[in-house]
Amino acid sequence: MDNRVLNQMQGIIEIRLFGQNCEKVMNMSLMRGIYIWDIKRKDECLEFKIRRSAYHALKNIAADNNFQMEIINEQGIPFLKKVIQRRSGFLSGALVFLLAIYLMSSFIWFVEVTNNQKIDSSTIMLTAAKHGLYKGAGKWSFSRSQVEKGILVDLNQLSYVKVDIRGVKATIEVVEKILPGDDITGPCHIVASKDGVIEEILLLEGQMNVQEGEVVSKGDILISGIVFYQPNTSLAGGDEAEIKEMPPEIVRARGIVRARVWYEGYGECRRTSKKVVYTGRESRQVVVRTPWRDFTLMGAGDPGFEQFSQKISNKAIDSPLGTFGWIDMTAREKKTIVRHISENEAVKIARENAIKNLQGKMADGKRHQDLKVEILSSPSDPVLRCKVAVEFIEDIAKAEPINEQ
Amino acid sequence: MDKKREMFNRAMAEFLDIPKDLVLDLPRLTLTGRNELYLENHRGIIEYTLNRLRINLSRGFLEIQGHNLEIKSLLPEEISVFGEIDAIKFLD
Repeated sequence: MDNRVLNQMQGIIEIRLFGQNCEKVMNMSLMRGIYIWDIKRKDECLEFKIRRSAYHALKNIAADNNFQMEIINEQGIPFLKKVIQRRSGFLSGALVFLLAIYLMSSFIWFVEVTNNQKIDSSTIMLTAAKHGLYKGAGKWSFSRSQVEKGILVDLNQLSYVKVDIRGVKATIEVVEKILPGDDITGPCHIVASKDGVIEEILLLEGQMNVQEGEVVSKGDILISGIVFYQPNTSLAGGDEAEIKEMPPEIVRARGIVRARVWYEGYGECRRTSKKVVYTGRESRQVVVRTPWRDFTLMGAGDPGFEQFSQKISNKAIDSPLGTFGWIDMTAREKKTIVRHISENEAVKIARENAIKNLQGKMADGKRHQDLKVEILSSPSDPVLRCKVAVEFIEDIAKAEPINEQ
Repeated sequence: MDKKREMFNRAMAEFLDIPKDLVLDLPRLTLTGRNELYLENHRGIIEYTLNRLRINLSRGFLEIQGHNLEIKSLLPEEISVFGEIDAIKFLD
């Protein structure tokens, strides 16, 4: 019976009862099944609590027996109405706040693309936007699976798309297709990709066209994909006519052809070099600026240096009267040093430049064979020019499809 | 006649081992410390002041003496009293 939650739900009324022999009212309430609790005797009266639903019954009992009744407190949810009315502004504010939170959280504010390597994020986002997923899109306006399908259809470089929506952030996770390389699978020749001298040949398939030590130029067929049947001389009594009639076999030539190739690099160095250095001498001038006059606090206007660089720090405040400020100028003296470089040194620098230039052309991982330096300029030239040639041994085999016609 | 009936009921309760408060409508008192009293099977309140509480029973009445007595809850069959209890007396 004493259920506090239920009491709060129904509402509790605290009553003060005046009159002689209050016990009578309590007993009559008991007979009527009115639940009374927290009964306290005060000097002239009795205070107790009843449920809101029992109030009228108790009022009748009290009226019939000439008792005075007074409500001293009301508690519980039914009486919250007054509180709600009093604080309507606060409550409506809270409601608006909740609504705003709900409304704001039902839009996508951030779109992120993950796991993409070759395809640009912006391309994926643009495609997603085409299917309804973009910054500021309402969550109700697109379907996740539709967007996923749409992106997959539009971007055929993707093999998997997952759209994950967490709060206001959408994450598009993609997996790119690994496309097969443009390897030639049909019949082909192996040709030289560079000029060079053949060092070694490893034939895997096809017919060898060149020998070790032979000079080849770019585009020469090294291993032929057209294989002519070779008559085996060791077999005695072979049917030569039959062999001649056999058509040549067309295969995909394979093999490794290592050749000596050359790389050339060019470098140069000026015989005289000019260099500007600071001498360490400084001149500082500090000027206080007022709207009426400039006051030089320190230093002279002209630093008296032939060459110098100046650093000016300027602080000014604009006021209705004019500009007040502070100018700090520091001049540092400079000197040009002309240096003559000896021939040996110039060759060294030019060579280094040429090697640097050469390294840009070469791929990594090549075996260094020989390095030759050739000076191109005459001793009287102001600029020393040189050429560096490096020899390498590398695989020059390149597959080229056979033109069937 | 009533007395005979009561005797019979008592004998039956003893024989069948049934709690007497159920069969004979006797009050059951639970006193926790000296501050809390719980009483079942009462017949209403006769008198209630801060120092004295008299509760009607099926036979006679119960007088509780103490200070700052307060009826915590009042139900048709049960009553729970809080306060500093000095004495509990059964009166006819």
